Amino acid sequence: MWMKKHLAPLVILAVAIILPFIFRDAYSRQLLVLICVYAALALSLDIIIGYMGQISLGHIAFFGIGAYTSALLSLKLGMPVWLGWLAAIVCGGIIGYIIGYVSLRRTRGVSLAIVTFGVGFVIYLVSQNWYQLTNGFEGLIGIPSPVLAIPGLPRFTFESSFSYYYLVLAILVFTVYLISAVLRSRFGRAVVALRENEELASSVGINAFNYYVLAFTLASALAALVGATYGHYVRIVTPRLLGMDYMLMLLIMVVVGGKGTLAGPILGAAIFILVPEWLRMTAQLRLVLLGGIFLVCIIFMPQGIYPALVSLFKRASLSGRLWLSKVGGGKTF
Amino acid sequence: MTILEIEGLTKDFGGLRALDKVDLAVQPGEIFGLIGTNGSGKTTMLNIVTGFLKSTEGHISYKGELITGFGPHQVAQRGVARTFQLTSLFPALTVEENVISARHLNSHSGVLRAFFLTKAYHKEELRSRQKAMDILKFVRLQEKSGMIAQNLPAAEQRILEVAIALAVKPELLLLDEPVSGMNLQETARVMELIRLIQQTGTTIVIIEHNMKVITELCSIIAVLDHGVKIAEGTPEEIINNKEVISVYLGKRRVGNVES
Repeated sequence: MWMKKHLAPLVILAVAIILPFIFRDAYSRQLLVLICVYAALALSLDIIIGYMGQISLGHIAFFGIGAYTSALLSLKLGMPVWLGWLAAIVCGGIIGYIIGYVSLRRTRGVSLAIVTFGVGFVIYLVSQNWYQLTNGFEGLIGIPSPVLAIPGLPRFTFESSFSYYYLVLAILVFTVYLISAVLRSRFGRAVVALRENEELASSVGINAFNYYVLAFTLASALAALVGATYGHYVRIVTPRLLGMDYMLMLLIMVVVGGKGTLAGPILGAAIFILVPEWLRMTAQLRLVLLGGIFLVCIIFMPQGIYPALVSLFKRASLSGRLWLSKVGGGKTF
Repeated sequence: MTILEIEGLTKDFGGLRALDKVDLAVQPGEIFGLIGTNGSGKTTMLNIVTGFLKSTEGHISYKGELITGFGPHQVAQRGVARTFQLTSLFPALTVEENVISARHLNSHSGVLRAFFLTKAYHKEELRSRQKAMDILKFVRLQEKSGMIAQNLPAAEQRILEVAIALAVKPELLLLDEPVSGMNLQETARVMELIRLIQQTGTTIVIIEHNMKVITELCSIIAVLDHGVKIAEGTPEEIINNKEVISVYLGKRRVGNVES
């Protein structure tokens, strides 16, 4: 019964698990890792965009904070990578809480977008200019790979794209599960209620400010975790990671993929990592085509690609059933 | 002990005095009516009581506790619920989800429980849905529980609003023009509902323009005009009050006919 209900996600998970065996070259496997990383990051941003109904243009800063935190702790203090990731979550969470606490008091909507943009930009500047800590433009290099050292088992280093893929896939699955758990909890319902009608939600006892800050903190902590996993994969962390171009790409992944859904941001991440790669062969036209694709998607599928596919499927299966019932002598399904 | 006490309530919007030293006292268990011309300050007063606006001067006490300056969620936590002048729902959610969301204060599905899908979580979820359906049955919307809220016909949207307010389990319910835009049948249905709610022990304050509803349901009515309370009394007293007639009701009045 449980199997049947969750059949689709389980099938997708099974496919995801065998993907590195189908795509055996290093380049494809690298893309798979990046897709998982950005999918999880997009999901964390979707907490703010899809479930809170707000816009944060500084979200990428938490990705960077997580990457730098973990990288610094393992490089400078020799901490095990896993602890670095934990620290990244805590750090991202605390900074997210502070920023949320200060920004979400009164600002909503466009003003919030501007505030978060400002904050994100400041953090970007810090990463560039606090030379002693972050090494400025050159960034941090030689970041160690995560090592699994369980006594009694052989020591394993997550260095290859193959092994790292399963690591980030696990994180992606965890993120999906966490968000779905939040959604079916009182907390998640409150946040959705706030998105639907903040005034009404307040009138039934939901403390808007508290829940906004909590959701924002969760999104930030998640983004930081994803950033840490990315840092220990590419093993170089530079301020570019916090740049506006990546932030906009992330935004597009969420919105064009389908905000407020679990599959949307994942689909968006896959599409907007793969398509630019496929367009490489078109050289200068690449960015123009990419821009064109965004526009087409947003105009024809304003709710996102995933919701559009779902409604297409619904209509197709409905007409399919109608057709089948006619063929089957008029018996309705 | 009065359940709601408003003292010297004054509200200025810049140069405009929307409320001028209004005093009001609502007794537990009664249905209290608030009438007046548009712009007389009725909704402003409601907004201040429920924490959506801050008063310029004056105090509000609920069950003896000073709630002046409380935010909306704090007022709700104490057992005061309201509806809105313009229909206010969670539009994209289903009717059932609207009520479940509104049960926030009475729900216990924590994230940790939801994460591990514990037995306690499932029990709580079942209980939540059950209670939500109970409320929907009370307002007779249970058959439309799966419908998206914004697709409901207008009158039923107003009724869903009441259901949402009831989910707070209020001791004091403030209704802002609950029958506006309704025909006779729909109005009668809502009036019946209001009577049923009173029977459960809830105190009700109604802002309305429909005089039939006000005079038939309320035991006490207060009249506002340009932010000032010009009269307070039983329905009899109010419809015969000269000042109320000249300001609001109009000279031509025959029995209980709506003016």
